[in-house]
Amino acid sequence: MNSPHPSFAPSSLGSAPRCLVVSFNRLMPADQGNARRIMQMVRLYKSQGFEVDLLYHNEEGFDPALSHALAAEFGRVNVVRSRAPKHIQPGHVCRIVDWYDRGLEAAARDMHQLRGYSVVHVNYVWYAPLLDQFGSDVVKVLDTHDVFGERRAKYTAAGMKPQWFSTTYADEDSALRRADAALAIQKEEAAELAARGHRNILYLPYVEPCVRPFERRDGGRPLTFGYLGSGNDWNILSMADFLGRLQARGVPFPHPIVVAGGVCRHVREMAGVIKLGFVQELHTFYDAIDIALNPMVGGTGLKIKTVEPLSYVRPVLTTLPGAQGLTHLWGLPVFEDNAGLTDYLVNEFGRPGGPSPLEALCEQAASTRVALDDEYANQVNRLSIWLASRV
Amino acid sequence: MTATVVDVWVDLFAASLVRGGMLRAGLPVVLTDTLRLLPLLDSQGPMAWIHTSPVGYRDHVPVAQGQPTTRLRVEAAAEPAEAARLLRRASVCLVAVPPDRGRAARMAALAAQALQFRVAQLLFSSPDVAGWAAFEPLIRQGALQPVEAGAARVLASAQLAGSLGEAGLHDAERALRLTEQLTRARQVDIHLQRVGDRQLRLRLRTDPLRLIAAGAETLAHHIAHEGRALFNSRGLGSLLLPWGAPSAARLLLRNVRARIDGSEIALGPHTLAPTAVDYTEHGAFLRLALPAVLPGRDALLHLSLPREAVPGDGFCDIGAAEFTVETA
Repeated sequence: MNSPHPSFAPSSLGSAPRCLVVSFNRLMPADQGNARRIMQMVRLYKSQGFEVDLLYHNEEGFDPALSHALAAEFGRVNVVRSRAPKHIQPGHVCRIVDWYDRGLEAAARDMHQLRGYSVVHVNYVWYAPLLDQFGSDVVKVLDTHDVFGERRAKYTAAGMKPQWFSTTYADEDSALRRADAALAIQKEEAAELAARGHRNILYLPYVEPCVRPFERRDGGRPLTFGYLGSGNDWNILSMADFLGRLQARGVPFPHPIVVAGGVCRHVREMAGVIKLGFVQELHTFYDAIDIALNPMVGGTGLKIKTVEPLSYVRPVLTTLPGAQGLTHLWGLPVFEDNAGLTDYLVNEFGRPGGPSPLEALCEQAASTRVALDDEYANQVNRLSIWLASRV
Repeated sequence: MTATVVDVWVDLFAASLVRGGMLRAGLPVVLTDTLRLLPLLDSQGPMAWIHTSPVGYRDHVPVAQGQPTTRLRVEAAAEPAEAARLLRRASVCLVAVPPDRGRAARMAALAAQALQFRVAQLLFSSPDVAGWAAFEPLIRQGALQPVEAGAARVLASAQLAGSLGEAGLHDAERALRLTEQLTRARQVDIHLQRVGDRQLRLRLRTDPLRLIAAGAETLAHHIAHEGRALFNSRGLGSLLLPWGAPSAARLLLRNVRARIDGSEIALGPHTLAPTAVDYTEHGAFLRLALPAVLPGRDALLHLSLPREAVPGDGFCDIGAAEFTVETA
């Protein structure tokens, strides 16, 4: 069992230590994976006794409602408009100096002078130069969210045009060295960064709180599969590959497949595929399905679509790319690729009225969830001990 | 020279200390029981206000390249740990001694905390306010020294008193040097004219965002979002005056849809009428002759615009603000 996390007692003056979180994501509502990861870290710091302030590098909008919501969540909020040039050089090389916005520095210094932070926590490697604005008395944490060194290669290997940020190993290494601790979201990524010589890497997976306990479904509707994803290139490619392979079987799959999120606009019309579009509340999607699918053909970073269904007590069937970073904990079936996934679906669920492995999958999902929770608790404990030794 | 102008001189002195790098690292902190402003010190970077009575309003400071953020005002009774934390990290502690004895006792206790952390202190007020009695032990314990300040009573820690020189607080030369520096650095739009031996006329033009005070949370979030000195949707606006001294004010009211000569205007117990209203393509310029803010009162000017002047689809705002003060 895990030992209780060390928490930070109020200082001799009776006030909590403070953490400044720097984010370009619109955190309220936290409906994107990276925003949810950041809010996970906010909850973590608060659970350790920190008061958390926010420096919002406004790239995703600001309005009175957001101002109100952020004021309720954070001790103090400063909002700085993003003016980062974000040049992308030929070959899709992004230099950190071109993505970093020096306009953040004055606001960060002023906030530190007013509030006196013990910890500063920045998200994404191109924010690492901001850590230099803080002295050695402040603990500097960088949440990497992804490995961005030569990230473009993963796209080109899949025949896709590189998207968003990809930098050189040298630039990424230089950014990582500015932090006292760099958080990797996957065990494999932590290992990769450590193999590049970094000794300040801590692994902290993404796990959401369980929304409800695992229990048997009531069986009152046809067995339903589901996929929820945004309209990014990886998701579009993955769903096209999966549905293409399923269709190529020549026999209609006898169970409905519900698709939700921005990816719906790019999903082919196909018998048995029901497109919900954007869903306001996640539970409305998960309540409508019995088994989640994540037929990833590749991708980088956080695999939220693989871990999220477990919070809503739904088993997940995924490919190896979808389970990246989770395989050492995963008790559910994982398939080499979508060929394997569709084979399994047709063989196990393709015969109407045949025996269903749903119950077994639910048990595996429950044990996987326990393993994830234990892993998360262990890593939080490590991070807490590390923080306690420095704050 | 009356004691009502003492905060002008304190502001000039404190801003010159910060600008000259003459303070230890930390944050200038003001102890007060009223909602006030020291605009020159405020222009020099982060500072904090610790209040011994409820604040009830949110005011703002601009953020470079960003949305305005709330000025740091801490109610000592509600957040004692935060008040202690600020006092510990203070670079200087300016104490506006209040007339109310109870609040003065609470303030003296806070000032004593700052003294424990060897924070330089400057106490100021009218000499006849009752609150001074509560500070006598602190004055003895901290060996605070009297400072020449005309009709006001001012005491300071030795390191501050030593930097004041023979002219004391009312050092016109220091004030002139400071305002030249601030103007050159484009930190403050201030014009200072010497009108007598120790008398000055100051004309301050400031971002009205630094002055607008929101009595409701909703308005504060709209101000943070729009970055403008907004009136609320019913045409009510509250403006922090830069100092407590009598002044002549000129305010540009924008997006008003009708004449505003009939606006209701109040400062403490005073009901005011505009001395003039000039209607231009930029908006309505409202001219006011403002009396001194009474001791123990917030320096808040309340304006209520006629309903027909308030747009149904947006907010009126203050686009520019100018104040002229004489230290005589």
